[in-house]
Order: sequence, then C-alpha cells, then structure tokens
Amino acid sequence: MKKLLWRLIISAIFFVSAIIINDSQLKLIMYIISYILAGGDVVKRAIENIKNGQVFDENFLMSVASIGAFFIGEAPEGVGVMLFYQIGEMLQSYAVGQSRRSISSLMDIRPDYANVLRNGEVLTIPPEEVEIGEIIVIKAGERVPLDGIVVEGNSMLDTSALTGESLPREVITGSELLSGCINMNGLLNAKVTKSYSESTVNKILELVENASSRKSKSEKFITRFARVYTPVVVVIAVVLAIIPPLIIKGATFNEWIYRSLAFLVVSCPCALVISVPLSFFGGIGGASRNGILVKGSNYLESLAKTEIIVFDKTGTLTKGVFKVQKIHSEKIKPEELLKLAAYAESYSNHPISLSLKEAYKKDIDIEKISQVEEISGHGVSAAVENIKVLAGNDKLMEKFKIPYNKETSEGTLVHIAADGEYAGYILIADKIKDDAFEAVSDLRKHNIKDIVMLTGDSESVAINTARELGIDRVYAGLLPADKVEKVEELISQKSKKVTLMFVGDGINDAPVLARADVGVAMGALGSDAAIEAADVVIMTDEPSKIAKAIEIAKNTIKIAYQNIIFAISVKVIILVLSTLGLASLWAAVFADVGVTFIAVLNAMRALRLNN
Amino acid sequence: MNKLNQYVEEDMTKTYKLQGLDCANCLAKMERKISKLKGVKSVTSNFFTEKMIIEADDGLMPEIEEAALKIIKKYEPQVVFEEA
Repeated sequence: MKKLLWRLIISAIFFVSAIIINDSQLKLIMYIISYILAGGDVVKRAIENIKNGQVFDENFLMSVASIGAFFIGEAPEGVGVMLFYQIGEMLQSYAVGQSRRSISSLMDIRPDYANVLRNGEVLTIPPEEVEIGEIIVIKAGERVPLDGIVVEGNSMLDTSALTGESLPREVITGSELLSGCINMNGLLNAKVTKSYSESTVNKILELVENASSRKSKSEKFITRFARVYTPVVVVIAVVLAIIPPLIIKGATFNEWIYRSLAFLVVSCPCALVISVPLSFFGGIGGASRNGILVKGSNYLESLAKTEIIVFDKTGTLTKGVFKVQKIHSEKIKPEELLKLAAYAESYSNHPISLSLKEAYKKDIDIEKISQVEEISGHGVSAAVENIKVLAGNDKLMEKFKIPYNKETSEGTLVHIAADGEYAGYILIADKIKDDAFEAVSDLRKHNIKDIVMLTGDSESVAINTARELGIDRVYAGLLPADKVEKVEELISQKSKKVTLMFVGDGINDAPVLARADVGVAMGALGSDAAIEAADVVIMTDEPSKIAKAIEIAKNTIKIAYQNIIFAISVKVIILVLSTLGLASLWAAVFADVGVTFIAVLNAMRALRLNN
Repeated sequence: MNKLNQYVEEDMTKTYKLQGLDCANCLAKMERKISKLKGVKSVTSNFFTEKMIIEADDGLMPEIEEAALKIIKKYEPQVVFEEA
C-alpha cells in the first residue's frame, strides 16, 4: 500500500509536469511515464486475467478506457483516469480494511485460550481442546472460554459483549457461567458443561457470521443487478462508439469513442456490491453488540416493516416470577391447602408450580404422590396421600363440575379440590417488568399500529396487565395451540406488506415463533432452544430491546437504500451526460471509485449508529 | 423417508478463509461459479469476514475444493484459500 502510494505520487508529479511542459513530444513521453507508473500493474493484471480466460473485469475495462483515450489523442484524460482510479481504489481498500477491522473487533468475543486443571497442573490450551467435565480456571480480567458451572470462588462478570448490558452480574459457587463474559475481579474455578462448539460464545459468533447467508431482498436485487449491469453497459459503449459516427452527419469517431469510454469506466457495480451487504452486516453486528441477535439480513428487512406486535405475557412483559399472595381455604386448614397444591403440582416446572413449592417451604416426599396427570391448559390431577387432588384454573373446576369460588382478582387463582370437593384457592401474582412500560411507549413511536397480548392466564389478570401497559388488545385463557391459531388469524387479517412480530420467551412457544413473520425470543442467554427457534434473539429479558431492534433495522435499511439510490443515480446521470457529451472521463472516474468510497463510508454508519 | 435421510447425511458443510480478498464483485462471481460445480448444494460468502461456506456432497468435496481454488485464483490470484 505504501509502495503504491509513492508510485502514485511520482506519477502525479510527472502528470503535472506534462501539463505544464510545452514541447509536445516531451509532453507525450511524460504522460506515458506517468501512465505506466500509475496503471502499469492494472494493465498487467488485465492481460494476465485474459490469459486465465477472465475477460470483462475491472482491470480490463479501465485499461481499455485509458489506452483508448491515448489513441484518440486525449492523453491527459487517459492518465487521469488511471491515476484517479488507483487513488480511488486505494481509498476504497482503506475503507474496506477499516470496516473489516471494526467487524473483527465487534466479533472480538472469541476466547483465545482456556486454563485447564489437569493432574494438579494448570495448562493453557485452546478452548476447543477442553473436554466436558474438566475444571477450568478463570482469572480476573480473563474471558470465560467455555460454558460451565462455578465450583469455587465468586466474582462479578461483565456480560456486556453478549448482552449489551453494562451492569455486572454476580456469580457464586453453583452459578451458571457463560462463555464470552469477562471475569472482572475474583478467581473462579468452573466445571465445563459444554464443549467449545456448543458453548454460548461460539453459538453467537456462528449466528452472526452466518447471518449474511440469509440475504435480504435488497442484497438479492443487487446480485441480480450486478450480473446484468456490466454486460449491458459494455454493449452500449460499443454501440455508442460505432453507430452515431456512421449515422449522424458531422459526428466523428474520436468524439463518440471518448463518450463511450466513460461507459467502460463506470461499468463496475462495485459501489453497490460492497456497500449494500456491508450495511446489512453492520446492522447485524451493531445489533449483536446491543444483545440482539438477528439471524439474517432478511429479518432486518422484516423488522423494519413491523406494524403489529404480539406479545406473550408471562416471562415477556411480566417477570414470570410468581409469588403466593393469598391462601383462601374452605373446610381445611390453609397449610393443608398449600400442601395439597404443592404436592399435586410438584412434578411440573411451570412458574406457578414453582411458586407453590417455594411457599410451601418444606421438602416434598415424592412417595406420597401418585397418578399425576397434567391436563394442558387446565391444571393437574394427582393422588396425594390417597386424597384425589385437582389443582388448576376455573376451567379445570368446570371440567370436573365442581362448584368453586368465582372471585376475580389481579393474579392467577389456583383452585383446589380434594376428593371432588372444593377446598379453596391460592392466589398467585406476577409482576410487570420495570421496562415494559417504556417498551410499549417506545414501540408507539416506531409506527407500531397494533400491540396485542396473548396469555394463558384468566381474562381479569390479562386485562389488568394490558390496561396498565397501554396495550390495545388482549386474548386471554389461551392454550398453547390457541396462540398459534390466534397469530394465524392476525396474519390473515393484515396486509402482506407489513410484518407481524411475535415476542415470547422461546421455551414453550416455538410453534408460534415459527409461525409469525418475525419470531423474537427473549431472555435467551444460555437457552439453546430459544436461540434455535427464533429469528431474532434478545439475550437479556428486557422488552425495551424490541424497540431498539426495530430502530436498528430501520437505520440499516435506510442506509442500504441510500447507497442503492445514490450509486445507481450517480452512474445513470454520468451515463446520460456522457452520451450527450456533457461529462468528462474525470466525472466518470468519480462515479466509479468516488461513489464506492462514499457508499462504503456511509455503510459503516450502520455499524456505528447502532453501537 | 429413509432414503431422504441418507441423502441428507451425505452433505457436508465446510468453512474457508479467503485471505486478501480485494474485490466484492469478483467474490460474487466466484460464488456464482462455485455454486454451479457438480455436487455443490449452496455457497455463501462474506466479503468482510473473508469467509466462504460451501455445502456439498461429501464424496465430491476434494474435487470441489480443487475446482473452487482454480476459480478463486482466476479472479483474484493473490487470495490464500484455506479451511477455517
């Protein structure tokens, strides 16, 4: 690069001298020297490539254009084209180098090594060579190389590279440890639970790198455009050089060849081919820095067109942490009621069951439970110490025709029946996430027409939550299958041009995520299932990131469109002006390399804007 | 169904590094040419990470790699092509 720079400087000196000198023969010699210095390697490459059977490349077209200029007596133009082309190429490769560096620093979450404890010795080896079950040592300041569980020590972890969140996370013995985070202070020993290729950091890197393979419509358009653009422009150039001088009176070959040479100069679609994918890649990279993984450029496009957002309630807008608020028992003691409920629900991992167990506090003797049967969307039936227990929502009571207390309240009621008789209810309530309010109001600013909430909870709870958040529509009491149906119904009602987004926790709602135009899984850090199922993955559990994702997508699309319109219109204008004889070859060179350079710089904004 | 499974299992995906890529349009051309090689299911490349992912028939992979190298050298002789 430095060598090339010096060559171009010397070439420029010769070029300027040639313009000043009066002696016409010396002038031409100076021009030729300047030309060889500036473009000798371009011509050489063109010849080599022709030998390899590769004709219409940029080198060839530039050589023809510049040498052509010499032949029609426009030596200064010939040298100028080559000189400026080379300067432009240099700027362009500088810009590309810069963007490559920015991208690799963005992806700089890859751990280089792992300290593994083997036979009482700490060895430093590549993370790929560590096996599951081995103990790794992570010192302060080091990156966690593999997923694991802390077996000794405690520390604060910087998760910002994965989540975009600046607040450090505390880990203690027994905590899950995710690769890619940075250990801030303590010394940690951890037992490896996943091989490197299955570890979080590698999954994220793979996702971001492979995201560019799912191309957006704009990228597909550019690919098609590039394929026809060069041949068409070259054919027009040939026609322009030959036909007008033959049919127009007084038109000379020299003049029309000069005009046609401009076509050759702008015949590379480089500006588009580089800048449009870079915009998308920058957008995806910027999003990942914010803890938002977008699985493809196509999803950025859909995100930008989002007008309807369907939220799952529990775990998405609410914390999903349920607490027993009230125990209302009839006929039996409250402790007894709680015991029956906790026992009956003990086989389930549903948040409600967990909160029952938590409230019960005592250990559960599994021996005492039998005939457990989960009734999806209703509750559970089980035998606890020979008492037949039903625990679940009002639908369960209705199903078994048990009269129950129809009190409505803010929260979920778990009704319990013992041996077919109503025994009371337990009120469990969830809390709305702190940033859910902000999330909804931010979305309104992003042209989101319709915000819908789906939930399996009862209507009263759902309506209360929705009212508090300012959500338009609520569908409550839905079974998992009903959610798919509801989303399908909403999709069929909307225009095809707009996107329906579904946001869920990615664990129980994979079919809905798949059915929506864009499926967003939330709080997915460390959950492979969620990462697998969704199109867009939000690593933290903040719903406010949805608006951020849409904003990033809109920025990215805007930049990509700017580049497409800018590059194509400058080229078309130059082509029209050259045809009319109003543009010089200088302008054509600008339209080629100058536009590429500007478009690449603009595309880089996609990376920066979103950081 | 069984037959289909066997067929799918024969495909493999490999990632390559293309060090020193200069021209995005050339990369697009390489991608197009390589995707037309016999046994190749899909090719995706990224100009900025300088990576190419080839999904192809397992048995034909050595031939495909050789042909791909030729195509790459034809467009950009300075590129170093190796498995990532």
